[in-house]
Amino acid sequence: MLRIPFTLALCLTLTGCSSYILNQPLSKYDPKAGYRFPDASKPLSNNESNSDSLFICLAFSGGGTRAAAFAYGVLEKLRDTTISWEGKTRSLLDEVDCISGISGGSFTAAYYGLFGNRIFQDFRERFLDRDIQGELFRLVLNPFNWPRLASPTFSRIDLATELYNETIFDQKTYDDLGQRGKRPFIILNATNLASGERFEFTQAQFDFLGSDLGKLPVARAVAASSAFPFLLSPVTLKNYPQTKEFSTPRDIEKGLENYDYNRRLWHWAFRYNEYLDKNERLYIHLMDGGLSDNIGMRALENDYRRSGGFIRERMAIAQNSPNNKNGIKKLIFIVANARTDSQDNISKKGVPPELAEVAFKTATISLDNYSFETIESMRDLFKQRKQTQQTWADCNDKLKQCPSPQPLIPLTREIEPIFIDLSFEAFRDPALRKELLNLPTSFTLSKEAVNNVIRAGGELLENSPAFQALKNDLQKTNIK
Amino acid sequence: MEYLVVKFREDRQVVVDDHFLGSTNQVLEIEEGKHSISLAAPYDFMPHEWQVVLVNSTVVHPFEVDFK
Repeated sequence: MLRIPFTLALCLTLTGCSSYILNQPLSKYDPKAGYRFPDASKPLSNNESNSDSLFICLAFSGGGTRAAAFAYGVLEKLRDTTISWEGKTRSLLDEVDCISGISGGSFTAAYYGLFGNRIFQDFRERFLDRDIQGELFRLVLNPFNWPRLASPTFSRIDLATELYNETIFDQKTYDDLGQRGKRPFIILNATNLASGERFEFTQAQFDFLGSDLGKLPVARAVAASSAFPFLLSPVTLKNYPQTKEFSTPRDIEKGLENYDYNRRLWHWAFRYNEYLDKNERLYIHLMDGGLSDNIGMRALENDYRRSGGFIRERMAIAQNSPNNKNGIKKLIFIVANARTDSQDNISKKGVPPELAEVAFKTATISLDNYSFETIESMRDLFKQRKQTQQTWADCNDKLKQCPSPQPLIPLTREIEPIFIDLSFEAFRDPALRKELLNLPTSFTLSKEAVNNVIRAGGELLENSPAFQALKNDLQKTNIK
Repeated sequence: MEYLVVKFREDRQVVVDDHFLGSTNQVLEIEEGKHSISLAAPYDFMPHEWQVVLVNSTVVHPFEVDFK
């Protein structure tokens, strides 16, 4: 007789105690503290193993386990590529400075950021070869979790966070990530469900929430980045009042004055500034990063364009400056885009597609189109930089032919931008290409499929003409 | 992108929207639009700051501002 009231009491207790992991408030605002890219004005020490002159950023797209395995294949190839740079021999992977990850790609990015080369020992076992989807499903079906799931402040995404936190990321927080050093800097991206904007897990973004990213488990960010609509619920963050030291950064202030001059810059500043409206935005609900950028390139593009971007700052360090070592000579972006091209079944039927299929197609078509434009926009930016430097050099050569030549004012520094875009479409073997392009987006893949995708990542990078040229250049004994 | 030269009597770091972004007397590449331009310490220059709108400049014909 006592069992029923006891069970009820237990259920109520479990329901009442269950709540999602809440982000913590910031005790003091310091624009240089927390998880953000190292300041360009601080000179690099001589024993720094990763130079700034060779600056490599990776973008790992969304696409479930397929995307995570593809990114892993790229990391393996970079590890196996030995280079010589500024008199030091090392692996190209040792030179990676930042990784931007989305959804499935965020698992690989976060794991490498937290555990470094350990990824090559146990990431397959801990993530790639697991049936994460099945494990999540079983957690939802477990009656022990039902009272918790009945709580309004605990849902499927919180079970997913617990699973990732315990079994993949060893309960590591952003403070742990920062303590490993900030190279590579890991940018995990989600989407703000209210505004549709990209949201990144960096202290610069959390400053606007008056929140300390350092205390947040990395698994929480990965869960937000991969919270696929309908299957998983959003991750909720609290938007705290700003601490008294906070003042709106100048680049945001100036950005807000750019409505008539640069709408892109204005929009970026406007979206950041919205988080300061604490009455209207008490909470932020985040979903899969793929909804705002399925490539992971937008974060890097911002840091390339914006005056406060860590890439832009390093592109602008003068050759004769005391911290010239922090300046970029070669800027390399490698995009691992695990996009697929699922079989077109709707074109084979004479009847209009059903509502569910139309809804799915509507969402994915726009994502794919946007992803395509994201990549091309970045490629154009690199091309523009090359053309600018070429124009300057050509004009200067012409001027030298004048009777009393006055050379042009030099650019702050000359850089070599290299853009490498990897996708299954470029795979040479037609059978394997077809197989890869038809893989599902899920958190479970057969071991054979995982093997094939990892292999594809390495082979596509190896066979990329831009990578070949880079390797040839970097494998020469290079002492500058 | 747009191009700017900040003229000054010596080499000094240029501050764009509160961020160090290159040096004086060189061509800087900056995103299009309105920006505040100043110099790093010591504060021995005039004016304290320029507000500029960067549009339609090129690397061979950059926008120019002058600090005394």
